[in-house]
Amino acid sequence: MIQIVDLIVKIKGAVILNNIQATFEESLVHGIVGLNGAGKTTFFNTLSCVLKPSFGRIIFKDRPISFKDIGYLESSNFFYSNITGREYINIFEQTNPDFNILALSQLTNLPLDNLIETYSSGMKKKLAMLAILKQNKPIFLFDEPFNSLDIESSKILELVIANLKDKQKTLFISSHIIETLVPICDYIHLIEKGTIKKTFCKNEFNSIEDELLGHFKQSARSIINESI
Amino acid sequence: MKLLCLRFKQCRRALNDLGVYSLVLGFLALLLITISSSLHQKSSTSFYQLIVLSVLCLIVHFYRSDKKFIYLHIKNPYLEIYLEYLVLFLPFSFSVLFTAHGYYFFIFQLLIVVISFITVSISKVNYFRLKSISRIINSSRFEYLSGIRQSFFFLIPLYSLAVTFSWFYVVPHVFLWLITVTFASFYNECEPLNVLRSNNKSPRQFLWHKIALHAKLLLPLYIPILIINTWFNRDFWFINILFLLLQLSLLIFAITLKYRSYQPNEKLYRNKIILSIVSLSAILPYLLPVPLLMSLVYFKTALKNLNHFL
Repeated sequence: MIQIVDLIVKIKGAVILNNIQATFEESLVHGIVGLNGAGKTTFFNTLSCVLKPSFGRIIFKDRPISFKDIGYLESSNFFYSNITGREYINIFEQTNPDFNILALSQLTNLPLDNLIETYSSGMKKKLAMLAILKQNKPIFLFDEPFNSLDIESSKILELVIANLKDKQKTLFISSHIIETLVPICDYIHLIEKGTIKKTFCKNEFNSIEDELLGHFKQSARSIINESI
Repeated sequence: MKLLCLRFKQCRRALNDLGVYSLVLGFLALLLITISSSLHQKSSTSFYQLIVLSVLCLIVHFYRSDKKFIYLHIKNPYLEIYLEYLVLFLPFSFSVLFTAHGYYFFIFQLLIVVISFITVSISKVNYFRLKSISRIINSSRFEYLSGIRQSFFFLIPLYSLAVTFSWFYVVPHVFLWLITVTFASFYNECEPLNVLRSNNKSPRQFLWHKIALHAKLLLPLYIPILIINTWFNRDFWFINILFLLLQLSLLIFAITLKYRSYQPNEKLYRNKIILSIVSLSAILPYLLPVPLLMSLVYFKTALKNLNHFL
């Protein structure tokens, strides 16, 4: 169980996450959705201990969560310049005994001996994902993992997520596109104005879009009709 | 003038970031301008100086990565680029105007006008790939994998010269010092957070591990040359030991400076200037302890900064 108690995160005085109270079941896939600026990335950064809570705590297995518990695939991937994909992967200690770099690089079509600068953004995302999969972590955070992936790679990612779930890992996945989350998530949590407004279980997934975009669509439509 | 205004703002921001080091930088700049002015008094040295400045301008122009953007989006791009170079090199070229060979100034202007029109760029990807380098240098020393790829054609001649002149007084030391300064420049880029965290070490363990790992790379390169040097210059043994310690302290300084200001994925441009200033201390005998003392101070602040991330 991952428990979030009274979580408040402020950045430069502004409250980004506002008093989040939530409990997430382990070994399940949790989707995180929200409009731009709702606080999704801050939520992920706090879960992965990149940001420290201004107040409150995150509990995992009856102790404060640590970055050692988490494999974090960030939305934008940065790499050290002038190193090859293979060298990048080799920086990480292999704690996942099943990790097979040869098979995975062939599957993902990654030219591991080329400098990372020559990679497309989709290839960079896949490389970052391989580095994370090399490590055996109980929790995985994927922030916008489907961005810049082609159809094949998106399918591979879906299969990776299913595989991690089978291995009893807990996953948090954010996406702007709700359709990408529907087939893979057990729960989808809606973040609005820095707090988890609602949690949807599988049979409620078709009402998420209305909940998320209902009001926005109405006001956007009237602005567009008046302005164009 | 748009680009120039932007550069002024960037410079002002960089100087603010430098804090007290901006005074040292200002002093060094004044020193260089004075030297440049005195070189302009003689026709021959003035001529060579302007050749060097033109080559520098050409290198800057070839390697700048914003050219495409400027040519595409800025009005009068060639004029804007020319104005940038004019202002950049003016402190080192204007004094030639007050000499008998003042026309050199206009020849130099003509050269930088021509350079502004060159649209060819040298991209980073064209750097020597050195595919097999990771067989010699482990991936955990990724700063060296990256740095050596960038500076390979500079480091190899330097090290060859250090080996060739290893039995001379002082000469190999100059080359080795230049190598250390190059190595120290490898620490101006921050690795992503997941790379930093991949060690699973506490901040103190991490810093000591990093220092030991990189010192192990430096020592086998330097010790053979210094042993040969000591063999031929027996009275120099003490200087050689001191020199080795100084190189190690420069390396430790570079590492602690990096992690003192570590922010994931950042390029530490400010540190480049600080590093250049502290590296110069190796030439001035009374400033020799500076890197070591600064390392001690920065070690503590690096630990404090790393506590946020590890």
